[in-house]
Order: sequence, then structure tokens, then C-alpha cells
Amino acid sequence: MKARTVLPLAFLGLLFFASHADAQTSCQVTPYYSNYATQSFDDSNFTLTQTVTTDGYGYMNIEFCLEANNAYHTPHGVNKITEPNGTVHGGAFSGSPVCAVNCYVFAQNTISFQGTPGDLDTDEVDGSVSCSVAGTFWQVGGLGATRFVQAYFKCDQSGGVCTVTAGARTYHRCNPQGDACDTVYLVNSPVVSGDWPLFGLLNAVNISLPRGGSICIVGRHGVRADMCTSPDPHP
Amino acid sequence: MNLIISSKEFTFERAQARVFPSDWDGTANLSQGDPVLLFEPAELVDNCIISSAAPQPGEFMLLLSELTVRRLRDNRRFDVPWFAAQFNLTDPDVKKGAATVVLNPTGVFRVSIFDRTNRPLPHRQLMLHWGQMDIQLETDENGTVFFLDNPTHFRVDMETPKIAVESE
Repeated sequence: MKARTVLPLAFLGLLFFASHADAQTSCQVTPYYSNYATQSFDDSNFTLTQTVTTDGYGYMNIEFCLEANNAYHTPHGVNKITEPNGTVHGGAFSGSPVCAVNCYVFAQNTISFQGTPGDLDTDEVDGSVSCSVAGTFWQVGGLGATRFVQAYFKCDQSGGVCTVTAGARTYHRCNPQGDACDTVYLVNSPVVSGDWPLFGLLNAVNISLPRGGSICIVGRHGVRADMCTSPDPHP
Repeated sequence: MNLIISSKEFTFERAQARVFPSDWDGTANLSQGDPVLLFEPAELVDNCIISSAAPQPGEFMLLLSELTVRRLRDNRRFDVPWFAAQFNLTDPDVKKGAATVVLNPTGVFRVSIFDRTNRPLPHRQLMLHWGQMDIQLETDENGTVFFLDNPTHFRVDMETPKIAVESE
């Protein structure tokens, strides 16, 4: 019996079949890349294994793009599963850079861990290819994805109740998700009343970065809360 | 609305740009629907951001991610994960549909992380804190992260290795 559900099921076998016409008369790359994930589950010991691969090549006419001869392309990916308790498995990975002109790129990463029956994990699978001259020019998956978060936080009490450290106060998410919003350091009060409550229902936006990592932006219009045990309205 | 980036030291060649009001979770903004719409990314190409948004005058944040910048004095290019700045849009800016945002970062800084035997630590997670923003980044294969400003201006935390001891 499959005791663990991973959502969303990651399979991003995307291929871009753009016309060769543009690439023949300009310096644009026609990308033939894919990013895909495979999962296996061993129900004898609850071990989940996930492999993410980014590979392919970009077509470019070098007669029109002499600068491309000095450029190189690097494949990137994200293979990350976060358990409900905040434990994160995997993360960002990259392959070796290869020549930019019609060379094959390949990057692969495998994570494997023993899960807990009944847990609902969060799965993140992304892929991208960057050019040493033009930056990231191809990407799929949750790249750059933005999520509104309305969640319960608790002010840090390790140095006293909600004390100021280096000009900021620290809040921890009551239900951490393994991203940049789990622990936030705030210079301005996150609630409308302008004070610093022990518990708060705060507004935030989480932005995933294309090459892994994320940015959390906390608003100033949250409200005071009484506890840290309620489910989050917008996890 | 078009935003032109003006900088004495750098050309901002490429980036994913987000322009949002500083007061993004105020009642007026939240009542207009999913606040994620305020964070729709736009492309920055050669110092120019062309956005379909029609903002009101006020205080805004500019968040740039996955930047490629070129330093004017030596034409060197750098890939930087993020940069952010605050700016104001005036009534005349909004009326003419264009504004100039002056960005003068103090330089490009490469932060490298080593273990005690001076080996670089790749894929090590860093947390940066700037104003109301918390940024989670990873070091690259060489254990480095680039900043487009002096990193001592931020609070930086680094994950520490866990040591587990079990009797067998």
C-alpha cells in the first residue's frame, strides 16, 4: 500500500518546438530542453526516491552569432520535497557547463528518504538552462512562482519575549513549509495595530527563484492571534 | 507603465522584475483580489521594464531576481540572484506612464563560504534579511554567492550542519 502521497505529482516533460526560422537569422536560441521527474516508492520500508533530470540542447546559427562561440550553457534543476514538520530533502542542483552552440546539457539529481505513513509532503520540481552571456533563457516548473501566504506566526522567545536583535524581531511560522517564510526578521510591525504580538495571523508573499531559493515579503496589515495551533487560511 | 533604470556604475541587462506597492497587503489592495496579481513579474531588458500595470502614485518596491548586470568601467558581467530597492511614483510619473528609478549599488561582492580546512562549501543555504524581506539562497558549486550591494548591510544567517549521535 502506498502510504505517502506527494503533491503535486511532478512530471514536467516539456519540450519547446519553436521554429528554426528565427534562429537561422538571429542570435536567438531555439531550445530543445526537457525537465522531468520520476518517483518510486518502496512500501516495505516507506522509502521514497525521486529523480529530476534537465537535459537537451539549444539550436543556434553560429554564422549570425559569433559571440556564441565564447559562451557556454549550464543546466539547473530543483529536486526538493518538504515534510509537514519542515524537514527538507534535496534542493537546487546544476550540471556542468558546455559550449553554447548546439551542445547537449545534462543534469540529474536523486533524493531518497524514509517517510512517515499518512504524511502529505510538498514537492518542488523545476528546471532551467542559463547562458554565460544571456542569463537564464529557458525554464519550466514552479520557477518564479508566487504564492500568497496568510499564516500563523509566533514571535521568537529565545532571548526573552519578542526581543529586538540587530534592529529586528524574529517570527517563526507555526506550520513551517520549508521556504523563506518559515522564519522572518521584521523591522516594521507586521500587524495593523503597530505592536508586536506573541501570536499573529500575518500576510506574506513567497516567490520561488528560478535557480532555487525563495524570497518572502511580509506585509504590515496582519492581525493579532491568540494561539499557534490553528490551520493556516492560506498555507 | 515603463520604468527606466538609471545607474552610474552598472547596466542592468536582464532580470525578472516585480514592482509592487509597499503597502501591498493594505485593505484597498487585498480587496481587489488575489494579492499575487500585484507581484506579476515583468522582464527587465537593458535598463528598461515595460509593465502592463497601471499603478497609482505612492511608495513602491522594485524586486529584481536572476539579474545579469554589466559593470561599466570594465564591461564585466555578473549574475546576481536578487536586488531590491524602494522608490516613489509621483502623479506626473503616472500621467506620462514612465518613471526613472535611480539604482546605485555600492558594487558587486562575492561571498565565499569555506570549511575550517578552506574547502568551499557548495549548496550551503543562506538566509538574508533586508527590511521586510527574507531571502533564502544557496551557494553555487564554488561555495559562492554574488551580491549587488555590500553584504554587511544585511543580516545573514547560515544553516549549520546537524550532528547526530546514536549508540549502536
